[in-house]
Amino acid sequence: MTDTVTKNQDLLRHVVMSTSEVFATMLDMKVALEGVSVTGDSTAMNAGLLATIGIAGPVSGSGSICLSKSFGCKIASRFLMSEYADVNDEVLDAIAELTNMIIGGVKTALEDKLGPMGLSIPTVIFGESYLARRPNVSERMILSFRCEDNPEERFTVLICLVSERQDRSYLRELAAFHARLA
Amino acid sequence: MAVNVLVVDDSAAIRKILQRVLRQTEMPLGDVFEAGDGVEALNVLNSQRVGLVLSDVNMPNMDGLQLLAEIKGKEALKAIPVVMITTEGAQNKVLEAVALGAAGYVRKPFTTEQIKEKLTGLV
Repeated sequence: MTDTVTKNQDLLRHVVMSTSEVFATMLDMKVALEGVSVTGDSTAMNAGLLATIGIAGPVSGSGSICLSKSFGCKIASRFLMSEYADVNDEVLDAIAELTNMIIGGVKTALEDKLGPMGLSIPTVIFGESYLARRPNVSERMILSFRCEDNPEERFTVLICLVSERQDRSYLRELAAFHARLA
Repeated sequence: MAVNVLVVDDSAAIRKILQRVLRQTEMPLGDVFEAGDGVEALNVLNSQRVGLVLSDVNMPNMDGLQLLAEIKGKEALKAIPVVMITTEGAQNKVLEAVALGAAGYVRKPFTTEQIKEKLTGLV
Protein backbone atom coordinates (compact mmCIF):
# COMPACT_ATOMS: atom_id res chain seq x y z
CA MET A 1 0.00 0.00 0.00
CA THR A 2 1.08 3.58 -0.58
CA ASP A 3 1.94 5.97 2.23
CA THR A 4 -1.31 7.77 1.61
CA VAL A 5 -3.35 4.64 2.12
CA THR A 6 -1.33 3.77 5.21
CA LYS A 7 -2.14 7.18 6.68
CA ASN A 8 -5.79 6.63 5.87
CA GLN A 9 -6.21 3.30 7.61
CA ASP A 10 -9.10 4.67 9.65
CA LEU A 11 -10.93 5.83 6.53
CA LEU A 12 -10.25 2.50 4.85
CA ARG A 13 -11.67 0.62 7.82
CA HIS A 14 -14.79 2.82 7.95
CA VAL A 15 -15.51 2.29 4.26
CA VAL A 16 -15.06 -1.48 4.48
CA MET A 17 -17.24 -1.76 7.58
CA SER A 18 -20.00 0.45 6.23
CA THR A 19 -20.04 -1.28 2.84
CA SER A 20 -20.11 -4.75 4.39
CA GLU A 21 -22.87 -3.77 6.82
CA VAL A 22 -25.13 -2.28 4.15
CA PHE A 23 -24.75 -5.22 1.78
CA ALA A 24 -25.31 -7.77 4.57
CA THR A 25 -28.24 -5.99 6.20
CA MET A 26 -30.20 -4.68 3.23
CA LEU A 27 -29.26 -7.19 0.52
CA ASP A 28 -28.21 -10.33 2.43
CA MET A 29 -24.95 -10.32 0.43
CA LYS A 30 -21.47 -10.89 1.79
CA VAL A 31 -18.80 -8.75 0.17
CA ALA A 32 -15.03 -8.91 0.44
CA LEU A 33 -12.40 -6.25 -0.16
CA GLU A 34 -10.26 -7.23 -3.14
CA GLY A 35 -7.89 -4.32 -3.35
CA VAL A 36 -7.16 -0.69 -2.54
CA SER A 37 -5.47 1.87 -4.75
CA VAL A 38 -4.89 5.59 -4.74
CA THR A 39 -5.04 7.56 -7.95
CA GLY A 40 -5.46 11.03 -9.33
CA ASP A 41 -6.76 9.76 -12.64
CA SER A 42 -10.29 10.17 -13.90
CA THR A 43 -12.68 7.27 -13.47
CA ALA A 44 -13.37 5.65 -16.84
CA MET A 45 -16.87 4.26 -17.05
CA ASN A 46 -17.98 1.63 -19.56
CA ALA A 47 -21.73 1.04 -19.61
CA GLY A 48 -22.12 1.31 -15.88
CA LEU A 49 -23.68 3.10 -12.97
CA LEU A 50 -21.93 5.81 -10.96
CA ALA A 51 -23.59 7.14 -7.82
CA THR A 52 -22.00 10.09 -6.03
CA ILE A 53 -22.74 11.86 -2.78
CA GLY A 54 -21.03 14.96 -1.44
CA ILE A 55 -19.56 15.33 2.03
CA ALA A 56 -18.94 18.67 3.74
CA GLY A 57 -17.44 19.69 7.03
CA PRO A 58 -13.96 19.57 8.60
CA VAL A 59 -13.15 17.35 5.61
CA SER A 60 -15.02 17.64 2.36
CA GLY A 61 -15.24 15.76 -0.87
CA SER A 62 -17.33 12.92 -2.15
CA GLY A 63 -18.00 9.24 -1.96
CA SER A 64 -19.02 7.23 -5.02
CA ILE A 65 -20.08 3.74 -5.91
CA CYS A 66 -19.34 2.30 -9.38
CA LEU A 67 -20.87 -0.90 -10.64
CA SER A 68 -22.02 -2.60 -13.80
CA LYS A 69 -25.53 -2.27 -15.19
CA SER A 70 -26.27 -5.95 -14.58
CA PHE A 71 -25.09 -5.89 -10.98
CA GLY A 72 -27.04 -2.69 -10.39
CA CYS A 73 -30.21 -4.39 -11.61
CA LYS A 74 -29.53 -7.39 -9.38
CA ILE A 75 -29.02 -5.14 -6.37
CA ALA A 76 -32.23 -3.24 -7.10
CA SER A 77 -34.10 -6.53 -7.49
CA ARG A 78 -32.97 -7.69 -4.04
CA PHE A 79 -33.46 -4.30 -2.46
CA LEU A 80 -36.98 -3.82 -3.73
CA MET A 81 -38.10 -7.45 -4.05
CA SER A 82 -38.98 -6.94 -7.72
CA GLU A 83 -37.30 -8.05 -10.91
CA TYR A 84 -35.42 -5.46 -12.98
CA ALA A 85 -34.00 -6.63 -16.30
CA ASP A 86 -32.80 -3.16 -17.27
CA VAL A 87 -31.93 0.15 -15.65
CA ASN A 88 -34.92 2.39 -14.95
CA ASP A 89 -35.81 5.06 -12.39
CA GLU A 90 -36.41 2.50 -9.65
CA VAL A 91 -32.99 0.91 -10.20
CA LEU A 92 -31.33 4.33 -10.12
CA ASP A 93 -33.19 5.17 -6.93
CA ALA A 94 -32.13 1.91 -5.29
CA ILE A 95 -28.47 2.53 -6.14
CA ALA A 96 -28.76 6.11 -4.89
CA GLU A 97 -30.10 4.91 -1.56
CA LEU A 98 -27.43 2.22 -1.31
CA THR A 99 -24.78 4.90 -1.80
CA ASN A 100 -26.52 7.13 0.73
CA MET A 101 -26.33 4.38 3.35
CA ILE A 102 -22.72 3.36 2.64
CA ILE A 103 -21.29 6.86 2.55
CA GLY A 104 -23.63 7.95 5.34
CA GLY A 105 -22.13 5.24 7.51
CA VAL A 106 -18.62 6.47 6.69
CA LYS A 107 -19.67 10.03 7.55
CA THR A 108 -21.11 8.95 10.90
CA ALA A 109 -17.87 7.11 11.73
CA LEU A 110 -15.74 10.14 10.74
CA GLU A 111 -17.87 12.47 12.87
CA ASP A 112 -16.68 10.74 16.03
CA LYS A 113 -13.24 12.27 15.53
CA LEU A 114 -13.86 15.22 13.26
CA GLY A 115 -17.16 16.68 14.43
CA PRO A 116 -20.44 17.31 12.59
CA MET A 117 -20.48 16.85 8.84
CA GLY A 118 -23.09 17.16 6.12
CA LEU A 119 -24.14 14.83 3.35
CA SER A 120 -25.64 15.87 0.04
CA ILE A 121 -28.46 14.18 -1.83
CA PRO A 122 -27.02 11.44 -4.05
CA THR A 123 -26.77 11.69 -7.83
CA VAL A 124 -26.77 8.60 -10.01
CA ILE A 125 -25.49 8.51 -13.57
CA PHE A 126 -26.01 5.68 -16.00
CA GLY A 127 -24.36 5.67 -19.37
CA GLU A 128 -21.69 4.28 -21.61
CA SER A 129 -18.09 5.38 -22.13
CA TYR A 130 -17.70 8.48 -20.01
CA LEU A 131 -15.18 9.89 -17.56
CA ALA A 132 -15.84 11.15 -14.06
CA ARG A 133 -13.48 13.48 -12.22
CA ARG A 134 -13.40 15.84 -9.27
CA PRO A 135 -11.13 18.80 -10.11
CA ASN A 136 -8.41 19.94 -7.73
CA VAL A 137 -8.29 16.69 -5.82
CA SER A 138 -4.94 15.01 -6.25
CA GLU A 139 -5.84 11.65 -4.86
CA ARG A 140 -8.82 9.36 -4.52
CA MET A 141 -8.93 6.12 -2.64
CA ILE A 142 -10.49 3.34 -4.68
CA LEU A 143 -11.67 0.21 -2.90
CA SER A 144 -12.57 -2.78 -5.03
CA PHE A 145 -15.05 -5.27 -3.67
CA ARG A 146 -16.38 -8.59 -4.88
CA CYS A 147 -19.40 -10.61 -3.77
CA GLU A 148 -18.39 -13.78 -1.96
CA ASP A 149 -21.34 -15.70 -3.42
CA ASN A 150 -20.47 -14.73 -6.97
CA PRO A 151 -16.94 -13.40 -7.54
CA GLU A 152 -17.98 -12.19 -11.01
CA GLU A 153 -20.04 -9.48 -9.31
CA ARG A 154 -17.77 -6.59 -8.44
CA PHE A 155 -18.08 -2.95 -7.57
CA THR A 156 -15.85 -0.12 -6.40
CA VAL A 157 -16.18 2.53 -3.73
CA LEU A 158 -14.30 5.76 -4.39
CA ILE A 159 -13.56 8.25 -1.66
CA CYS A 160 -11.87 11.60 -2.03
CA LEU A 161 -11.67 13.87 0.98
CA VAL A 162 -9.63 17.00 1.57
CA SER A 163 -9.23 18.94 4.78
CA GLU A 164 -11.14 22.18 5.14
CA ARG A 165 -7.92 24.16 4.94
CA GLN A 166 -6.99 22.71 1.53
CA ASP A 167 -10.49 23.17 0.17
CA ARG A 168 -10.63 26.84 1.21
CA SER A 169 -7.31 27.37 -0.55
CA TYR A 170 -8.97 26.17 -3.74
CA LEU A 171 -11.89 28.53 -3.19
CA ARG A 172 -9.50 31.46 -2.64
CA GLU A 173 -7.71 30.63 -5.89
CA LEU A 174 -11.04 30.43 -7.69
CA ALA A 175 -12.13 33.79 -6.28
CA ALA A 176 -8.80 35.39 -7.33
CA PHE A 177 -9.22 33.96 -10.84
CA HIS A 178 -12.72 35.40 -11.19
CA ALA A 179 -11.49 38.76 -9.87
CA ARG A 180 -8.87 38.87 -12.64
CA LEU A 181 -11.58 38.19 -15.22
CA ALA A 182 -13.77 41.04 -14.00
CA MET B 1 -58.76 -0.13 14.79
CA ALA B 2 -56.73 0.27 11.58
CA VAL B 3 -53.81 2.69 11.72
CA ASN B 4 -52.98 4.97 8.81
CA VAL B 5 -49.24 5.45 8.40
CA LEU B 6 -47.27 8.22 6.68
CA VAL B 7 -43.87 7.26 5.27
CA VAL B 8 -41.62 10.26 4.63
CA ASP B 9 -38.38 9.80 2.68
CA ASP B 10 -36.94 11.41 -0.45
CA SER B 11 -35.97 7.92 -1.63
CA ALA B 12 -38.77 6.07 -3.43
CA ALA B 13 -36.80 2.87 -2.81
CA ILE B 14 -36.93 3.31 0.97
CA ARG B 15 -40.63 4.23 0.85
CA LYS B 16 -41.29 0.99 -1.05
CA ILE B 17 -39.24 -1.07 1.42
CA LEU B 18 -40.99 0.45 4.43
CA GLN B 19 -44.40 -0.19 2.85
CA ARG B 20 -43.40 -3.85 2.58
CA VAL B 21 -42.11 -3.96 6.16
CA LEU B 22 -45.30 -2.37 7.48
CA ARG B 23 -47.37 -5.08 5.81
CA GLN B 24 -45.25 -7.68 7.63
CA THR B 25 -45.93 -6.26 11.09
CA GLU B 26 -48.86 -7.33 13.23
CA MET B 27 -50.11 -3.77 13.33
CA PRO B 28 -53.68 -3.32 12.05
CA LEU B 29 -52.68 -1.36 8.98
CA GLY B 30 -54.99 1.08 7.24
CA ASP B 31 -53.81 3.31 4.44
CA VAL B 32 -50.09 3.97 3.92
CA PHE B 33 -49.42 7.47 2.62
CA GLU B 34 -46.11 8.62 1.19
CA ALA B 35 -44.29 11.94 1.10
CA GLY B 36 -40.93 12.93 -0.37
CA ASP B 37 -40.10 15.66 2.13
CA GLY B 38 -41.39 17.48 5.18
CA VAL B 39 -43.52 19.93 3.22
CA GLU B 40 -45.38 17.15 1.41
CA ALA B 41 -45.71 15.32 4.72
CA LEU B 42 -47.40 18.28 6.40
CA ASN B 43 -49.82 18.53 3.48
CA VAL B 44 -50.77 14.89 4.02
CA LEU B 45 -51.07 15.34 7.79
CA ASN B 46 -53.34 18.35 7.32
CA SER B 47 -55.70 16.46 5.03
CA GLN B 48 -55.60 12.82 6.20
CA ARG B 49 -56.04 11.04 9.51
CA VAL B 50 -52.60 9.55 10.32
CA GLY B 51 -51.74 7.45 13.35
CA LEU B 52 -47.99 6.96 12.84
CA VAL B 53 -45.20 8.73 10.95
CA LEU B 54 -41.94 7.11 9.80
CA SER B 55 -39.55 9.79 8.65
CA ASP B 56 -36.05 10.18 7.24
CA VAL B 57 -33.93 13.08 8.54
CA ASN B 58 -31.98 14.33 5.52
CA MET B 59 -34.51 15.52 2.93
CA PRO B 60 -34.81 18.59 0.71
CA ASN B 61 -37.27 21.44 1.34
CA MET B 62 -37.94 20.46 4.96
CA ASP B 63 -35.83 17.88 6.79
CA GLY B 64 -37.11 15.27 9.22
CA LEU B 65 -36.18 17.14 12.39
CA GLN B 66 -37.97 20.27 11.17
CA LEU B 67 -40.97 18.11 10.32
CA LEU B 68 -40.84 16.53 13.79
CA ALA B 69 -40.77 19.98 15.40
CA GLU B 70 -43.75 21.08 13.27
CA ILE B 71 -45.75 17.98 14.21
CA LYS B 72 -45.02 18.33 17.92
CA GLY B 73 -45.84 22.04 17.77
CA LYS B 74 -49.34 21.57 16.41
CA GLU B 75 -52.18 20.69 18.79
CA ALA B 76 -53.94 18.52 16.21
CA LEU B 77 -50.81 16.50 15.37
CA LYS B 78 -48.62 16.36 18.46
CA ALA B 79 -50.00 13.03 19.72
CA ILE B 80 -48.91 11.20 16.55
CA PRO B 81 -45.84 9.04 17.26
CA VAL B 82 -42.94 9.83 14.90
CA VAL B 83 -40.14 7.31 14.33
CA MET B 84 -37.00 8.58 12.61
CA ILE B 85 -35.41 6.17 10.09
CA THR B 86 -32.17 7.63 8.82
CA THR B 87 -28.48 7.29 7.95
CA GLU B 88 -27.77 9.98 10.53
CA GLY B 89 -26.07 8.10 13.34
CA ALA B 90 -24.37 10.97 15.14
CA GLN B 91 -25.22 11.09 18.83
CA ASN B 92 -26.16 14.76 18.68
CA LYS B 93 -28.77 14.08 16.00
CA VAL B 94 -30.27 11.23 18.00
CA LEU B 95 -30.45 13.40 21.11
CA GLU B 96 -31.97 16.25 19.11
CA ALA B 97 -34.68 13.95 17.77
CA VAL B 98 -35.44 12.61 21.23
CA ALA B 99 -35.57 16.13 22.65
CA LEU B 100 -38.03 17.12 19.92
CA GLY B 101 -40.26 14.20 20.87
CA ALA B 102 -39.37 11.35 18.50
CA ALA B 103 -40.91 8.06 19.59
CA GLY B 104 -38.00 6.06 18.17
CA TYR B 105 -34.82 6.26 16.09
CA VAL B 106 -33.68 3.56 13.63
CA ARG B 107 -30.40 3.88 11.77
CA LYS B 108 -30.11 2.78 8.14
CA PRO B 109 -29.22 0.10 7.14
CA PHE B 110 -32.01 -1.64 9.03
CA THR B 111 -33.48 -5.11 9.22
CA THR B 112 -37.19 -5.82 9.09
CA GLU B 113 -36.99 -7.04 12.68
CA GLN B 114 -35.50 -3.74 13.87
CA ILE B 115 -38.40 -1.78 12.36
CA LYS B 116 -40.97 -4.19 13.77
CA GLU B 117 -39.40 -3.93 17.22
CA LYS B 118 -39.52 -0.14 17.16
CA LEU B 119 -43.17 -0.09 16.10
CA THR B 120 -44.33 -2.56 18.75
CA GLY B 121 -46.50 -0.83 21.30
CA LEU B 122 -46.48 2.53 19.55
CA VAL B 123 -50.03 2.31 18.20
